[in-house]
Amino acid sequence: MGKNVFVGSIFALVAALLQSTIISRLAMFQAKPDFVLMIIVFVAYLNGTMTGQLTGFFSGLLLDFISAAPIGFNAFVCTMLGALAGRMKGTFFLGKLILPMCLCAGATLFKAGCYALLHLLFPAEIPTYTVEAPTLWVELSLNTIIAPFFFAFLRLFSSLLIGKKEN
Amino acid sequence: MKAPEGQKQSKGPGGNVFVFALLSLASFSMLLLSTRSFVVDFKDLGLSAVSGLRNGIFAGTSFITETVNSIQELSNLRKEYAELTDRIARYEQMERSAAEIREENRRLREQLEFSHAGSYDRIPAALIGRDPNNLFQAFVLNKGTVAGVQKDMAVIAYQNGVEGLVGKVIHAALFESLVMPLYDSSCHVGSRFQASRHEGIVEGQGSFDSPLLMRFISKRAREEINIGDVIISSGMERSLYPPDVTIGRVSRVLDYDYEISLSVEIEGTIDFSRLEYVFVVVPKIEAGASGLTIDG
Repeated sequence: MGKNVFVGSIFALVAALLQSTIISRLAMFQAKPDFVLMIIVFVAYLNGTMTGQLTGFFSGLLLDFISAAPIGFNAFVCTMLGALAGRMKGTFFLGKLILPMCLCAGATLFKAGCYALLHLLFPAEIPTYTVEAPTLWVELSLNTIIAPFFFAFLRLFSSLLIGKKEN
Repeated sequence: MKAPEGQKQSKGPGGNVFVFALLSLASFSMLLLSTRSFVVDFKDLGLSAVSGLRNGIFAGTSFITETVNSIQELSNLRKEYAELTDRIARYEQMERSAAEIREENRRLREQLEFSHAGSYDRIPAALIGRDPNNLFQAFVLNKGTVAGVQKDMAVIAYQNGVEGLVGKVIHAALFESLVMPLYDSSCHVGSRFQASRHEGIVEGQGSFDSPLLMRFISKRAREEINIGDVIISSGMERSLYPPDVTIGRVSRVLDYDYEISLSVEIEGTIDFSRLEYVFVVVPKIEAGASGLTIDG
């Protein structure tokens, strides 16, 4: 489990750096796909709650370091995401198309919900998505469309990201 | 689609719930502390640990794109060389008259004791990335504390020959720094009208597509405000931002009867979508200056 958490967090850090540099140039309506979210969902769904929440926590913490977000913000949201996706482990077979799309779409909406909740508690420091602005909807679409391809890419590293059955 | 029973996760509620509660509490506590600025050093430490990686990615991709572009540029350069040779001859003639004007300008400035030149040092920096999170607007610069960049330094840029305000440094790591742009909703700049000298506070609306907003302008200024008026930083004592840096031009006046002050919408001078290079302004430290600032 430790190896999966470590490798998953490193993957998330690399994804965050790419999101910050190369991918940010391709942003539409200030929205870019959230590869960190997809990695957490992939690792959590295939490993379970414990690996999911630990990967979420450490990935979020690394994301906090390289972002303008206050420390703990992404760690909190990603822990929730990892725990939720981990709870769903084994519910359905993770196919190649439909379930990755549904999982990432659901995770994006769940993340938006977490942001809204934290915005209520820390209105000055934490922004939130607004329904009328295109950012959330563009990000949701991008995450949903890219998820099957990115999950297929992550499967190439199954031996590093997926461990033995969790207790 | 249902998975076989054997594949279902065996739920060990005790361990999972305990770790979940622990991680949630830890991350929420950090969030609570960091929003009250108790762990600023911790944040800078983390940013420093990974600073330089973005610079590496930026340098790698820039090398590839620049190599490809340079081949095309070479053929263009030959044509431009011939044109420029002709132009130089014309400019040499213009230079003589420009030198006379410069000399006259210098003498007038000396007489008026009005020169601000040399008041601030500037650290040139390149924009190498943006915040990985879609909701935060920060830019990443390729210069950090090693180059002399410090938290709360103002950032300016030149576009179309105009010096415009970009924002301020919010985190400075060893080899890179994060800049909060002017259009961020938590950025506040003490500012004034260049012509009428009325003052207000400029703040962003969270997106570079949205106009900036200047608020808290005296109602008495209504008659003197016109569309197209230039807004500059006021640079008052204890301000983070240097004086007289252009912010933008008035695009709309908002005068509501139920408000005690005026607001105006501003079209920013800087086009953030094509911003590449900036200057970090190193303030001149004056004796007796306090650490308090009026800007946010």
